[in-house]
Amino acid sequence: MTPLLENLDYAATVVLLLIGLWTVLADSNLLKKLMGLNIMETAVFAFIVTSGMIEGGAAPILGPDAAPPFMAPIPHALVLTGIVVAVSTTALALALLLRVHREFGTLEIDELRKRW
Amino acid sequence: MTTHWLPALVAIPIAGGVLVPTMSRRWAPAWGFGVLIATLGVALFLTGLLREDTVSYAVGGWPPPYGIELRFDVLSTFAVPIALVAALAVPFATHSNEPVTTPEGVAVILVGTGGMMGFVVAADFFTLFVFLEVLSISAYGMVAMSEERGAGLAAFRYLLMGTVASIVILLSVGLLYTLTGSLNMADVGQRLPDGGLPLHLAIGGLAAGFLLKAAVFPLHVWLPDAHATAPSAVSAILSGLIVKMGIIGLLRTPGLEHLHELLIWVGAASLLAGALFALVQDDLKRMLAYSTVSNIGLVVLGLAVDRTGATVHILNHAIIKASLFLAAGAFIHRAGSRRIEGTGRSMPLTTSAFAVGGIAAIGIPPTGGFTGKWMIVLGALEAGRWGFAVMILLGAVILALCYARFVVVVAFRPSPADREGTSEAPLVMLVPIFVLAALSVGVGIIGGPFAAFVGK
Amino acid sequence: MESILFEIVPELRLHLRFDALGVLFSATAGILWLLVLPGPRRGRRYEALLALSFVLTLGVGTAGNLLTLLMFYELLSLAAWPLIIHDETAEALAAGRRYLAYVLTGAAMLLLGLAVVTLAAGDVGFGTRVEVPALGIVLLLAGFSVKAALLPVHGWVPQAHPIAPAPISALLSGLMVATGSFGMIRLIQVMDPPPLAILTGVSALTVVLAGVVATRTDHLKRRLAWSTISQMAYVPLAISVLDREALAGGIVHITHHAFMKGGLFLCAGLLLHHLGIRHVSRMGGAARRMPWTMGAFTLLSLGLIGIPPLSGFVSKWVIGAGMAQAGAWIPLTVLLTGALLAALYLMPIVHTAWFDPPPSEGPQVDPPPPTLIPVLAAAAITIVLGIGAALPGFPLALARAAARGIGG
Repeated sequence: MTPLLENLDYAATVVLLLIGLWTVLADSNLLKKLMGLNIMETAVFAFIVTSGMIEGGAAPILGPDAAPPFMAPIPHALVLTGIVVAVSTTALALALLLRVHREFGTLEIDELRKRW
Repeated sequence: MTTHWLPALVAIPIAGGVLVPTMSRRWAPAWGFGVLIATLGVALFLTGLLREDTVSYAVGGWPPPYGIELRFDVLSTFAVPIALVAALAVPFATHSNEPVTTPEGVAVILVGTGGMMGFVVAADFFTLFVFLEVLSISAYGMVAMSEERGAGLAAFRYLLMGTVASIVILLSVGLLYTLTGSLNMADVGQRLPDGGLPLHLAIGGLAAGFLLKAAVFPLHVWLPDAHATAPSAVSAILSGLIVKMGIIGLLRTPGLEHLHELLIWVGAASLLAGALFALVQDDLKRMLAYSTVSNIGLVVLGLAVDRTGATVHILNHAIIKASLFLAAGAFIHRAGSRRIEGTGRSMPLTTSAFAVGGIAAIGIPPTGGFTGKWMIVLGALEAGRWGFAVMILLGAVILALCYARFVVVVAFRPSPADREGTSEAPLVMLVPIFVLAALSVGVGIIGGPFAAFVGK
Repeated sequence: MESILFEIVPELRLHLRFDALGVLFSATAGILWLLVLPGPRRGRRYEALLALSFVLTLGVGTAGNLLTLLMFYELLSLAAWPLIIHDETAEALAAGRRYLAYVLTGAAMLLLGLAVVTLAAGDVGFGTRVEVPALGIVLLLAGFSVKAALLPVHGWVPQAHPIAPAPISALLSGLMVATGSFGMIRLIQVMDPPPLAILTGVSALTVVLAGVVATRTDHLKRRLAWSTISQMAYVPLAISVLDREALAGGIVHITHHAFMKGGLFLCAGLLLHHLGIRHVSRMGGAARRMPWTMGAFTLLSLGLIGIPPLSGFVSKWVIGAGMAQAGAWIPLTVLLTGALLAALYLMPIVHTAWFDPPPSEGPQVDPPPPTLIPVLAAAAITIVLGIGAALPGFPLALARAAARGIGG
């Protein structure tokens, strides 16, 4: 029980990731699949940010008041870029969904299969 | 060795791509072609330098392993087929009705090419991830260029799978960072712990993500729709280049030897399943797409038994599959639809190039398809994995029957009465097809020195 | 003469070599191609592929190592395929699929065998002898036997030969099947074969069974195809005796058989074209309508059975003499049985054509000279090669030189 409690933040990201994955795989609505994708992305960002977290650490910015311990800066940079990527992917996905809706009039997988 | 040409390899196509939308419709393809030829020149120059030493470049002057490093090594020679295929796809597409050579289309191709260039020269996992996303997003856009009904859906499904793969890869990169405290590939490789669950999760996650990007069976479901609905010039880029990025990612994954047993089985399954699926396709482009699944399987199997052979094969297959998709595009262009029965009768040159590409894809010596396949078969035998060598050859026989079937469809079936008087493909289509077909034989004839160069 | 060119895969090079065996095979190919060139034009695709397959056959003849041999051999298999299905009928396409399935499976076995041999012995040129694992040799022999049409992997021959245009049938029978036997000869040139009892058994069975099937086949070209299976199995039979004289006989049989069977298929093509005859039972009186064609047909049949002084007799005599020398009595019996069977499936055709009453009278329709000459030339070659067999520079002398080079 203790290891799980100590790593509660990691456990939470895993649960979030699985919720997202389940939505992507199992939901029959394309828009909801996209939302699942966003949930997965958020889970991963949360995981990476937490991995760089140090209890009581300061922001890794050099200056007159800077004093160790610092939090790891690279995970932040990773996540920042990741968010940019996620936003552009989502934008493209929404554009594609608009086109799908224009062509088929629906975003439900079962309906799409019939109208293909 | 260091040179500014290395970042230029990435910067030229991306900058070129960003500028295209300001241009008129008329000049966009010419500009795109010029930029890609310039990129090809840089790629060739860097490959030439490689004969002496690996080229490395520290972005912004921050030395590795702290800063971002670009590195041009043997795997990066993939930049040459990337630039070549992309460059030839642009003039090829000017004659088709698909909106590939609109300013927006050219922009997407150029940025995608830049993404691939960045991906093959990235020396740290973070940069690798960023460029993977650049090229993936461009690829989703390329599929959506098709005006065919359902292309949007195919692109969306591709995006869904691709993004899941990206997320898994990002997660694994994060894990690797927590494990080793570094993102630089060489650094990570040295600091890798010997075992343990987190390591296996990280490597397994990277491998799973890249296998999904590479469309290995049973993770291939997104590929046939995406590759078959895309405009043919784009299919050549997708099938020849973009799925190979997954393989390059695998080749960059540290500690891959932990996964050899998995790779060899997944590869064999993909090899046979792809070939069998290809056998039952009635549409040429779908058959070619499944043939790619099969060839990717061969490469994944090869990763476990002969890395050099696998690398040689992705380089050669890029050219071969691109030539085949372009030939298919020429047939479809002249037929005016996907029903291409008998089009080859009035297109002897295109048909010959298609046949040559088919022979190369099957892997008959002395074509480029043979070199890598042969090395992987030898590797499998040397490792005592008999069954896998037999499977590789069995897969080749099945693929041969697939290609033969379409040679019959194109050149031996009567063409419908309403399509009399079609003629040979226009020159802007023929030249790219022939350049690629000639190369796919040429690289095979010098397969020995070529493999020695790659294996260095 | 040798020339070693590109390195196609690490350690294996494109290697050309001109020796007695290769010269004989290439010369046979050259002359047979000349014989099939005249005749109706069949379009660009046909002409181009015919020329391509000629070059590839020369490649097989001049290959200097195993890789080069397999390369030309497989490319030839593929180049011949569009020729076989040239008529584009559903039947032809089905036969083409079957042909491809057979030859490609054979090619896969060959490549696997080559891989095993390469791992053990590196680049195997035909000038050296190497020690290799038995498995490699067995795979290579099995691969070649698909093309050599040995039972039970002969299935493509009776399908593909009758369906192809007549000149292509002539080439398939004369040379395509022979490339398989040629490959086997090259094999024993470089490696000590394992005990060949199986090869003896298989080829003996092929000679007899295919001969029996031929006597019971009514379709003319199919009967000739079965005859090819039976007759070409002489070569592996001769190889398996491991006697130098028998081997020389086997080598020269490739050449002699190429002209006889090629000529017979051309005759069959003329009969079909001018009289519409496909079946032996319909051939009554055909000789009265086409005396020159059927004259050549008769002569070639006699040659194939092995009547002196025709070329078929020479090759069988040399093979037989070698077998007797080596004390291989069972193969010798098989050889004689094969000749007897040849008489049984060829003489009825000749008899029907000359002596049975025709179904309907008609004018003489012997083809015009350009198409008749190749048939007559094949017959003339059969006579000349038979009478002049002992002359220097003739196939028999070359074959003996080749067999000396091989040892055995």
